Amino acid sequence: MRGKMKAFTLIASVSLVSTAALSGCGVASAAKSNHGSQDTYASSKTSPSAASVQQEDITFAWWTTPLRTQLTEQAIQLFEKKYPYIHVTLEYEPWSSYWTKLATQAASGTLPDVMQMDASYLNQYVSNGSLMNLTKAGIDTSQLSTETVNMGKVGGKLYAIPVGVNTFCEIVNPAILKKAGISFDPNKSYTWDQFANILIEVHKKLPNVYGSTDDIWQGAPLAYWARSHGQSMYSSNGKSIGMSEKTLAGWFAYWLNLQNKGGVEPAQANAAWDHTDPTANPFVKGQVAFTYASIGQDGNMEQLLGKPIERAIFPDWNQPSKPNILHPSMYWTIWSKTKYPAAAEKLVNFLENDPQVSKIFKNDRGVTANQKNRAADEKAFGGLVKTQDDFMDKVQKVSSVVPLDPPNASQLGNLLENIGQEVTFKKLTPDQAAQEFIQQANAILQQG
Amino acid sequence: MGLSVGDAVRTARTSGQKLIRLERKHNGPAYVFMTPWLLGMILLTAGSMLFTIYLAFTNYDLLSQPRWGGLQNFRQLISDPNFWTSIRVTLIYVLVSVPVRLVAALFVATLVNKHVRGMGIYRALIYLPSLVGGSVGASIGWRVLFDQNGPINAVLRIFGIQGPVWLGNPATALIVLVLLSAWQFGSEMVIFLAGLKQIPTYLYEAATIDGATLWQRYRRITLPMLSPIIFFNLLMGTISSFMVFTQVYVITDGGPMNSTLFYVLYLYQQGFQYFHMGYAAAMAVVLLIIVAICTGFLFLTSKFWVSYDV
Repeated sequence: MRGKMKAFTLIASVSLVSTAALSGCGVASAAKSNHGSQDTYASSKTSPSAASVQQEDITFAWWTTPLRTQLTEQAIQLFEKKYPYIHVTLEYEPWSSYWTKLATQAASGTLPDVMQMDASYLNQYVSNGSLMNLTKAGIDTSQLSTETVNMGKVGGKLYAIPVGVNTFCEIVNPAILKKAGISFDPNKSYTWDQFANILIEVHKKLPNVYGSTDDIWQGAPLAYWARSHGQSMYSSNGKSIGMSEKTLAGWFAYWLNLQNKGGVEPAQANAAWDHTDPTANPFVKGQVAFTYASIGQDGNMEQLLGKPIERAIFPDWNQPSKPNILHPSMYWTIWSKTKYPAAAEKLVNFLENDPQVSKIFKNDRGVTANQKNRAADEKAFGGLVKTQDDFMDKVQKVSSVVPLDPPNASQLGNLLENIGQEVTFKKLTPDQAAQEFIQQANAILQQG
Repeated sequence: MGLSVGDAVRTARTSGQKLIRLERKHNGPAYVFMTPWLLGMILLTAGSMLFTIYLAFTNYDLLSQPRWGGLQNFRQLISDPNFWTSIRVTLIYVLVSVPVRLVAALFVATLVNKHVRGMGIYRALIYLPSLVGGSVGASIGWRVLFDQNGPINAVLRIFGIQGPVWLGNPATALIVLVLLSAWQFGSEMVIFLAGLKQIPTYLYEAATIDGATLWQRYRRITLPMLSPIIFFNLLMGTISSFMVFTQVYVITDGGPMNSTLFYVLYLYQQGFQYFHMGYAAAMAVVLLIIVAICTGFLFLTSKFWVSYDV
């Protein structure tokens, strides 16, 4: 009996130790797994004559969607045909695991040579020295407007080449509005209150439909709300929230009022769907008339809905301060320690400026920054590309470029989600929520 | 049966001692054969564990070098409301899901401990869910099942019940996750089944002759004889419940209103979404301590209800 007990204790403690190891090392071992979506273009493409030239292997990484993977593979095939001595290894991941993987690679000093970069991470990667200064690199930016090129500068130096320009907007399902007998002019600058009345009216006329998704915890429309009230999301040094408690409380109150009157979906419905999954959005199921999207996503949403949509700038945009925000949709960047800077620069130059690549990408990576290519694509394709380009042309005239997000800003998403939900579930009043958000957000931003 | 159980144990032990003596003389080859495992243990497990403990005292964002911060991470943990939420959520989950799963496993194990044609197939089928239960695919399926307009609510509607918005309601989201765990009792069931088969049938025969009812036999023979197995399953179930991640990450991602912010999910968010690797390491160390305390506590109570007498 003793022996058995001993053996059992041994088993139990071994498993305890190994479990403890597991719990302790989740961090370390997870860091090693980069879910294997890697693809290699075999070196078999190398032509015999190229054998004498030194083969240059570079890695190119981007966050992807199934469509974008296809388009990018086509573009890289063209690149490898043009430069047979350069071999590109492709690494692609969906958005969230892309950043996990990139951070892990940065920690181990093995970043990809060319990386697709987002504005919310650019500051971080520049400040730790991971990115090459491209000011004097041989990348042609002559077809980009000065304003666009400036989006890629940090501290006056060019670290990132903007691929496209972008903005967030309201997308509209005109069929619902027509059925409800509501007239809405996507070119008009409605006030926030007028917009709220339209949303409430939709639900009154069509009880099974809501005016809009509840965007109470969406950062992009909130940043716009701050600007449309003459303030900004972040203070100029990026160490605190820039808008007043009153403005933020007004935001929470605005959506709560809509929720109470049927202008937006109820709290539980809003909390139930995965907001990162466009196919789960009530908009594509015809359950709401409005939702917000970025230009680029709009085409996907239209396709999922299966009916034509319209695009409108957020309410109250027609102000002298030009509150609407112009974003770089994404950038090309090069790793500061790349072994083949010339090859990496060639790839960036090719992706940014080659007219054929632009025709493959269309506006999948945002409305093309290269103006010559943008005009050529518009002529060649018309349709969605032209609609998006025309909308951006209109928007650019009434928009501003705002400073890059502070380094810790990406953490505020979860905070806003929780506090926004506490408002929708009526655990917090708008005033309490505003106070709590600013307090916690400032604590996070100060660490950045 | 000519040989008593005691004899068998004694025989096994003497031969075991002989083996140990033999092994001591020839340790070299054993270590050679163990090398792959030892290397894995030292490099992948022990090394990473020690590194995690070191990181817990640093400020580390993955991108730049770790900076020593002393107890700063632990002090910050104490004042972090999300940390306490995650502890509360995880404890509720452990306290509910572990007993539910054990009872389900024991019940089904008792049911399939019969000699019926094709029983092997039934057992395999019942075991199947626990092979896929922790996977992303099953979690996505679970999400679809409990959708507001999903199959579960459709069935409820047949009976005139308006089902809740399972995943959108802070009161029901955790229930969905507990149900997913209850459904993966397969491995515990197999262990229980092995335990049930170990119980000598003569005990039941003797009890039946003495007029014991089915319930009395279960209560007085099966449960005490099975108590070491119950203890083992309880221990392993508790430990694994503390570390639940995949299902939560896929199904609710902590929402709504942090009602399913599990400990390991929060650890992941801190480490891999916010890049507070030092803070996440501190959380891992705290989890290690919590799990150690809970298992230690279970061991202490085992004196009173686990019987090792055969």
